[in-house]
Amino acid sequence: MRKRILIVEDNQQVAEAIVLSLEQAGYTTCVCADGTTAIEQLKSNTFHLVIIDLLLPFTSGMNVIKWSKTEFPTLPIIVLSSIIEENIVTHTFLMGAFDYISKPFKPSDLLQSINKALQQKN
Amino acid sequence: MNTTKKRVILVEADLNAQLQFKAQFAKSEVEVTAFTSGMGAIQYIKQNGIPELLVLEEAAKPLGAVQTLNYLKDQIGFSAPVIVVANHIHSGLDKLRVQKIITRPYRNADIQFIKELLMLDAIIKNPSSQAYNLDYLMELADGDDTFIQESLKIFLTSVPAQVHALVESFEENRLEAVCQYAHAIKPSYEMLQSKRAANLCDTIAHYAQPQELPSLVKALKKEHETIEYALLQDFPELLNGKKCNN
Repeated sequence: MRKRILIVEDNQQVAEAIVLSLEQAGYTTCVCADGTTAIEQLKSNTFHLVIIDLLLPFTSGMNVIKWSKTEFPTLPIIVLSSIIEENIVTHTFLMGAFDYISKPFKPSDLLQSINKALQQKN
Repeated sequence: MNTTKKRVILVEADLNAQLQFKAQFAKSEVEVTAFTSGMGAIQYIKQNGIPELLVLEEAAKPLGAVQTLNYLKDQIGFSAPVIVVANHIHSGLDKLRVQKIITRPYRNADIQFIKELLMLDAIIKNPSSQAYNLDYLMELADGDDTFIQESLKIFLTSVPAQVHALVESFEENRLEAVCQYAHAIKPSYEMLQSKRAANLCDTIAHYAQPQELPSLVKALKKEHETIEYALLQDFPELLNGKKCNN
């Protein structure tokens, strides 16, 4: 079964790039552009992994991570953000993020991280 | 004195740390003048004018970073970017409205940040010679030309509206929105490897002082127009996908 990945990214160009990388690698993707829609998606669908930006409209990426880790503690979350402040990166790990990848991302880094996260979950 | 060099004033009591900092700029167009106390720097700035950057130790003697900065602002209208060097990050630093707070030992990322900050003037004054580069998109596309076309179309349909909204927010003095737009569009410029536009977005979003915003916003708008023009020159077929903002 193809793994389903939720992409939460408000920059459409970046979202398209992630979709391309993931679909070429055999994943099924779903994109939403804000935190509130992401939570709705997670409530109503099954995902194997989430890729999320931090600064998002309506509900921040941090809030989505916090909510997800309460509702779906084993769901791996990879943060993809252009914020590189050490304290923010550390905070996302403390909240339970599996990995933190900075933009602009390298597809190989992202795919490697996804593989590791899914392997660890299994 | 070589006036073409960027002048950086460093206030750092530790002579080893001074040397370490200076070594990072030894072969660059940056002239670092170091002082062990804030008073020395104040005197120097009074006599030689405001530098391009002040790097100030949090525990600068005898006044400390906050009072030294207040003095410089009150007495000589100091307005250049400031970086504070702290022993460790703590909540008391929040009140310092400075470009960045860094810790010792100086990390490569911090030095790179300073170098980019010092290039900012050049960014504003010199629009890009090569507006964009498709290498990153080609790497992502992995041979899929349709993806590149699609990505450029998305750029031309989404980014101009956001730049327009950023400028409008600035004109209406909604500075938080200005920062949010700048942060949101930065990755689009990164994808086109437009480093100047991405740096401008980064500075507007995270580091700029309010008084620096007019020139930065103007520079970003100009840089964007250059990129958009270059894309439409090189890919006229994309005109069909571009929405009219007027």
